[in-house]
Amino acid sequence: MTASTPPLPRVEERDLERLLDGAIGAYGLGVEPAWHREAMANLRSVADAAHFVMAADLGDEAEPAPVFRP
Amino acid sequence: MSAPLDPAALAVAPAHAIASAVKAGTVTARAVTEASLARIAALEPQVNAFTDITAARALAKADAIDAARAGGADLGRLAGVPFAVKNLFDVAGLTTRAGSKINRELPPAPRDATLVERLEAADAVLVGALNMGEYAYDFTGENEHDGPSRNPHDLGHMSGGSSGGSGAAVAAGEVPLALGSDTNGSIRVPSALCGLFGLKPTYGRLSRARTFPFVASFDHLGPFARCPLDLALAYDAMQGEDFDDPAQTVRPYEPVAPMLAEGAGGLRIAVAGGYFRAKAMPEALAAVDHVAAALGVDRVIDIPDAARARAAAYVITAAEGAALHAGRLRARPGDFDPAVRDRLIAGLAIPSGWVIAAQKFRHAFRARMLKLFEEVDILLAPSTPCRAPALGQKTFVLDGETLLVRPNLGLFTQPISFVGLPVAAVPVWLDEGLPLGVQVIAPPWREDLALKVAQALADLGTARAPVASVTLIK
Repeated sequence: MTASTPPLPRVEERDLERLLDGAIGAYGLGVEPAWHREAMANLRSVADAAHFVMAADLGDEAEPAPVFRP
Repeated sequence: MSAPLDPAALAVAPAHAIASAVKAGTVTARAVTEASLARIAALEPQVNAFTDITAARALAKADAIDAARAGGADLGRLAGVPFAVKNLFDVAGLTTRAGSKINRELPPAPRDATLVERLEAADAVLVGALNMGEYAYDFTGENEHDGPSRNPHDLGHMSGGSSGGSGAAVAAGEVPLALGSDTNGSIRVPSALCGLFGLKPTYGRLSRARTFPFVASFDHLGPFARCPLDLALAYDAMQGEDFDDPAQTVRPYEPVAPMLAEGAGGLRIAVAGGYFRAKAMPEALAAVDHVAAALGVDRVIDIPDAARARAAAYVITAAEGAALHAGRLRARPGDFDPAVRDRLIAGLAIPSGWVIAAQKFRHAFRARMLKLFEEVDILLAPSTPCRAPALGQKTFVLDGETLLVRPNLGLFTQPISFVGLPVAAVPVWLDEGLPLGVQVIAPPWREDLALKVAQALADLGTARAPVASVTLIK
């Protein structure tokens, strides 16, 4: 990120719907309407959490937490 | 030899007292095991902590212990101590259900989990497997398939999750020792709600071999007990390298039980401020203040970005948990607990960039916490934002905001396990109501410090874990 990088927008509902429906298709899930509503509510929580995390500028050199030891 | 002891009384005694009596020959392992099994049978209709009772195995093990003693052998540090494990631990001959309907169709496990083997190598006696939230994605202790494990101190309330059966069994005095797992708080939350001591060791300290996973980045295993010494004895018995767990960090054997009596004097202790003083009911903060006052602590340290740490833990948990269960979601969606299934479906939709950002933040937050531990040795924080909610309760109000109970009971535990810090959860009773819990948080690999403080609080009477008075069914 740079100083000119625009702030990350909150993910809009229609984009979350696309993400969820895409995943449901990609994983070959059969999802009933009631499950879909609940999953959307949960995905909104995750998206807001991720938005908050990504608002922290750690720089390009930031390493993910290591979990693999060769 | 001392006078024979009453096995029924010993069944609700601490593990170290049982082991001392069995080693001294004042009671047999069989008598203690039979008393424990009898208490389980009497209480289970109400507590519902157990999903499997391994009576034949337990009695055979108890007889072997008694025979070994009769033959002059030195018994292990947990001689004759009944214990039980969350049903995500493999137990040879039992199906590892992990709280689910789906997994109980799998064949029985061929071998015990490493930690079960190690406790039995110390002459503890496995008496069964324990109820838990489905696939460990839970803070309530409720289970769609097996019914909820109930809080023994008030059967209408939650035991906490996901290791709810572990908390309920120890609080009810069915066993003095149980094992659970803690990904985001699943040892610390039930410890708080059931009024117990619990230990979540440093990430990578204890072997996870032959246990059903949830989130590889955060999964920890550890013990529940009614006193810090019992936690230490169990923890010491479970340490050691295990090539069957590729995620375990190789560490030297560092026994803590002999160090507990050293006390907390000289330790630099502070209360965690900021994030850890908001979104809590007043009694949760009062519990922390009660512990701080007992220790003579008036220092408060803010932990910057704890809220973001919790958010990142939330993202990683959702993504890794969903990836683990993708196949089952496709094949058997109707057989999940709906509260778990719909969170997992959402997790499959998470873009990879969100997860990588969260893992990068995890690295940065770890560095900040290590820096902070240059100034202090111990941090104190609430375990939960409230006392045990009622069974079935879906929401609570924290700081004027209505929040879901299920994902938010662990809002104070998640930022800590996010970076794998060791925590001793200590139980606090402020009044006649249900207990609360305080996290005693130490730097990585310093379980000894957390347990010394827990022991000091027990010695002061500030932290205690009485056996619940559950009404027995006649």
